[in-house]
Amino acid sequence: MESTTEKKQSPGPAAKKLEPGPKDIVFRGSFEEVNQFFYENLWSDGLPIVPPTIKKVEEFLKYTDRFPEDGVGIYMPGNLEGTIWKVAVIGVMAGCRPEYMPVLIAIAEAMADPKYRIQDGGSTPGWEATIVLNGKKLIEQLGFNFREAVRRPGNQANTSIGRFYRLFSRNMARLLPGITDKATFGQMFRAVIPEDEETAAKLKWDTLSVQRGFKTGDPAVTLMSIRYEGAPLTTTGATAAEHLDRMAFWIKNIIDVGLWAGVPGVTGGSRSEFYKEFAVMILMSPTISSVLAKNGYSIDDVRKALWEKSKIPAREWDARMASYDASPKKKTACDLVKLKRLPPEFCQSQDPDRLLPVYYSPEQLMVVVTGDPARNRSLFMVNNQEQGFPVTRKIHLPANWDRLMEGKR
Amino acid sequence: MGLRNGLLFIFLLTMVAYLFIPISAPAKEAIQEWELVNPEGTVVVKPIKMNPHPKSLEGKTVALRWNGKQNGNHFLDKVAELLKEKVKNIKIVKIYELEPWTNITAGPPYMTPEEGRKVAPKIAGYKPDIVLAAQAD
Repeated sequence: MESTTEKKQSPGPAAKKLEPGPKDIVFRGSFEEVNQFFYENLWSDGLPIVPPTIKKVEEFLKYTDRFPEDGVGIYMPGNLEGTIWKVAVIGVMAGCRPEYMPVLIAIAEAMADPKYRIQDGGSTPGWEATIVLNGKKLIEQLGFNFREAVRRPGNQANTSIGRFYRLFSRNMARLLPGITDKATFGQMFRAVIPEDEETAAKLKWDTLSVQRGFKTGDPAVTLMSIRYEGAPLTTTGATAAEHLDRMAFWIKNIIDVGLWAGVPGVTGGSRSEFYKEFAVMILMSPTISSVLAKNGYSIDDVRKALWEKSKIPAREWDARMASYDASPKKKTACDLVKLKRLPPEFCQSQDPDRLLPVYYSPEQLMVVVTGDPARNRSLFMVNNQEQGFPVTRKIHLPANWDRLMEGKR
Repeated sequence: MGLRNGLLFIFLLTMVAYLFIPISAPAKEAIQEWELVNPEGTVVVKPIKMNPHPKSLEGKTVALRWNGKQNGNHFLDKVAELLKEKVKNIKIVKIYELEPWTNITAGPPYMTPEEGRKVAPKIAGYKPDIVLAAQAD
C-alpha cells in the first residue's frame, strides 16, 4: 500500500493507455473511490465490487493449473480477449471465493463458444444466462445450495458466480445497457443452479451433464439463454400421466414455434433453416422426479412423453409461426417444408388438425432435478432463438485440488 | 494545615488539572487504500484503417448493403433515390438486389463464418468508392 499523501487518482483511465498490462495498477484509492472509479469506467454493475488487488487475484490463480496469460476466448461485440488472469480479476470483483476459480474458467470458456453467441447478449428480448452446475463432489466442496430457494440470492457460491457471469459480459463482451445492450427490458443476473445429484443417482436419472454427453460425476457447467420462463407449475397425483399431462399442457401453451422454426420475414432469403439446437429446460423438484421414476420413467421416457403430449394442431402451429413472419404472405409449416426450412415430417398432409411438435425433437428438452425436495413443482425455461444455445464445458480441477480444499469447509 | 485539609487540597488540585486536560477525540478510522488492476478484456484485433471519406460523391460508385432485417431494404431504396436526385453522375449498386445471399446476418444457421467471410470480397468486387450498410432491426 502506498501512503494516502500520494496521488489518489488513476494513473490515467485505461482508454488513455490502450493496453495496461495485467499487473498494471489502474487505480489507487479508498473503497468508495475505487467503486466510483469502476462504476464510471463501466466496469462494475452498480453494486459495490470487491477491489481486485494483485494479491487477491493471485489467490484465485492458486486454484488452477493454467497460466495467467492463457486465453479463454474472444468476446464480441467488445472484441476483447479474456485470459485466466481476467477471469480471476472479475471473480474477485463479483465476490467469489478463490476456490470457485475452476467453475469461473469453465463459464468463461462456455461464453466464448460460437454456438453461445455472446455477441447477441444485448439483443431485444434481453435474455439472461441460466447456469447449471454438475459434479456432486464439487457442488458439496464449494457449498452450493441445490435445495430450497435454489435460485434465490443468499448463498455465496450460487449468487456470486451468477454475478460473475454478468460482470464478465460487461468487461469482455462489453455488453453495456443503452450502448451495446439494447434489451427491451432485460433481466437480472441469475444465481447458479446446481443439480441435486444425490436424488438423480437414487432415481437412476441422467444428470444434465450426462444428457449433454459427459460422464456421470464429471464436474461440468451448462449455460443456456433464457428468453422467458413459465410459472412454478404444481402437479399432483401418484401416476406419471397426471404430472406429464399437466406439464405438456403448459409446454404447448408457452412455446412460440417461431423461436426455432426459422424466421423467414427476418432473413429475407432462402437459407434459413430451423434451429436444431433450440432447447427447453425443465427444473423438476425431487418429489416430482421421484413419482415419475417410481412409475418407471427414465429421463428419455420423460422427454419423449412431453414432446409427444405437447404437440399442437397444425392450424395453431401455423398461427404461431405467422406472428413471427414479417413477410406479406405468411408461411405455413408446409410452406417451410417446401422451402427446405423444415424437414418433410412437418407436412405429411394438409390436414389442419394434424399434430405438430412445439419443439423439434425430444432431445431438445433438458431435465434438471433440483429445488425443495418437499415440493411438487416444475419450471420451464425457454431458449432465445439461436442466441445462447446450450453449451456445456467440463470443469478442470488442478492436480492438487483435494489438498487445496482440505479444511475449507 | 492538617492531614484532612492537605487531602482536600490535593483532591481540588486534581479536579482543576482535569479541566485542563483536552478531551481526546475518538480515534479516526484509518482509510484503507487499494491498488487495483484492470478488469477489462485485452484488445486483440487492431482497428481497421478506414479510407478517407471522399469530398464529393460526384461520379462515385456507392454500394448499398442490407443485413436482411425488416425494412432496411426500404431505407436503402430511399437512400438510393435521394442520392440519385442530389448527386451528379453517381452510380448506385444495390448489393441486396444483385447478391441477395448477402442479405443475411452473420452466424449459424443463417450464414456460416466461411460464407460470412465471402461477403466483403463480393462487395469489393463491384469496386465501390463507398459502402453504405443498413443495420435495420
